[in-house]
Amino acid sequence: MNSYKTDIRNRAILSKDMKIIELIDVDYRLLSIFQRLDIQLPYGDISIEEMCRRYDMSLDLFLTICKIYIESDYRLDVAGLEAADLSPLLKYLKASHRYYIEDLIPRIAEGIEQVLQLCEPSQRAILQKFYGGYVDEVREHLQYEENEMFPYVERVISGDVSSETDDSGVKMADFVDNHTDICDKIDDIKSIVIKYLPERCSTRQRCNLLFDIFALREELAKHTMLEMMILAPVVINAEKTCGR
Amino acid sequence: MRRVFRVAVVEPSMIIGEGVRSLFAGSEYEVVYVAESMRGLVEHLSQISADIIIVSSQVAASMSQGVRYQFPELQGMVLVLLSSTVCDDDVVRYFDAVINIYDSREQILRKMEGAIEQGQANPYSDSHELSERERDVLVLVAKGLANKEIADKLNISIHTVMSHRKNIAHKTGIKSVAGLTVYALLNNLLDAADVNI
Repeated sequence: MNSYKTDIRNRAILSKDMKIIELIDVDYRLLSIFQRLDIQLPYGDISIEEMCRRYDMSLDLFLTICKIYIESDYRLDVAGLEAADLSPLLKYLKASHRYYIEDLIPRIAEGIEQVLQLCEPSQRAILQKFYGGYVDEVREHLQYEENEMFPYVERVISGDVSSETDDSGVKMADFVDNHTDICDKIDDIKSIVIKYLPERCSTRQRCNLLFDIFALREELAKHTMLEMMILAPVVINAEKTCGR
Repeated sequence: MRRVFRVAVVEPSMIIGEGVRSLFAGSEYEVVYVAESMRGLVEHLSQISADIIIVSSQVAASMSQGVRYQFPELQGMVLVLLSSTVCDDDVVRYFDAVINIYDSREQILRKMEGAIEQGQANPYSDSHELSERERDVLVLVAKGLANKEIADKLNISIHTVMSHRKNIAHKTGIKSVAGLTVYALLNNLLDAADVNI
C-alpha cells in the first residue's frame, strides 16, 4: 500500500504538504538529491514546504527537480521560476558533477576492471581505453559548464548582466547550442557489457557494473533535462527582462 | 548455376509493364508477374514468391504512407521505384533504388544490382547477426575510413554504406566509431595493430 496519494494512473501526486518520507517512498533514488542539495534528513515528519523554508529553497524548484526524476514524460512549466530561484539548482548541478566524477565514474572504472579479470590482456586494454576516452569527454563537458556556463548563469542571477555592464555578447542560447551529447558512448558500453563480453566474465560482476552504468546513464539524461528544461529557459527569460 | 531473381511489377500501363518484362529477357531477372495495382500484387504475393518488386511512381505517389508501412507483406523483398518523371523525396526514401523509364538497359541492370545490395541492408530485418557485408563495412569503419572511402573500396554507393551503418548500429546497439572498434576487436574481426582507439 502506498503511503502517498496517486492519480488514476497510479502515479504519485507530489504536493507541498507531502511528508519527506512519503516523497522518498515514491522513488528512493530521490535520496541522492537530498545528499547533493546538502539537505539533512530531518528528525520526525516535516512537509516538503517546511523543509524548503528551512533551507531557503524555492518550493517550485524542488518539486520540479523531483518530478523530473520521477516522471519520464514530465512536461515542464517554468512559469513560476525566476533567475533568483536558480541558485540552489546551480548548487545541485555542481554537486552532481562532483558526484559523477568522484563516485559514479570511478566505480564504473573499477567494475570494468573486475569484470575483465579473466579476459585476455589485449581485450582488457581495449575496453579500458574506450572507457578512458569516454571519461575524458565527460570531464571536458563538465569542465566547460563549470568554467563558462555556470559563471554566466551566476552573473544573470546576481543581475550583473545587462547591456551596460556586459558587452561580451555571450548569451544562454550559445551554451545551449554548444551542449554536446555525452550519453551515446555510455549506451555503447552498456551494449558491449550486456552482449559482447566473453562468457567467462562473471555475471554477478557484470550485473553490478550494469547497475552503475544504468545509474550514470539515467543521471546524465536527467542532468541534461535540468539544464536544458529549467536552467536554460529561466535564464533566457531573465535575459529578455534585462534587455539582452 | 546463376541465380535468377523473381521480379513482380506494379504498373497500370500495360505497355510499360510488358516493356520491363522484355527488357529483362536474357538477364538474371525474370518478370514473373505484372499487376495493375498494389492490391492486385498483394493478393497474388504468396503464389509468385518474388524477390524484387518494381513499383510505378504513379502507384507509389498515390499511397498515403510509406510503401513498407502500408504493405508489411513486402518485408524482406527488394523494392524498386519505376519513375517516369521526377519523384518526391518522400516517396523515394522507402525504396532501395529508383529506375527511370528513360534509363538504358545497362543503367537499369546496374541499379537493380545496387538495389539488391541495398535491400540486404534493409533495416527492417529482424536478425541481430551481422551479415557478411555488414562485417566488411564494420571493419572499415573501425579502421577509420570515411563513408566515401568505404563506398569506393567495396564498390557500393555511399547511400548503401550509410544503410549498412544504420543497420550495424541497430543490431549491435553501438553507435560510436570507438565503440564499434571495441566490438570488432572483441570479436576478432580486426587486429589491434590495425587501429588506434
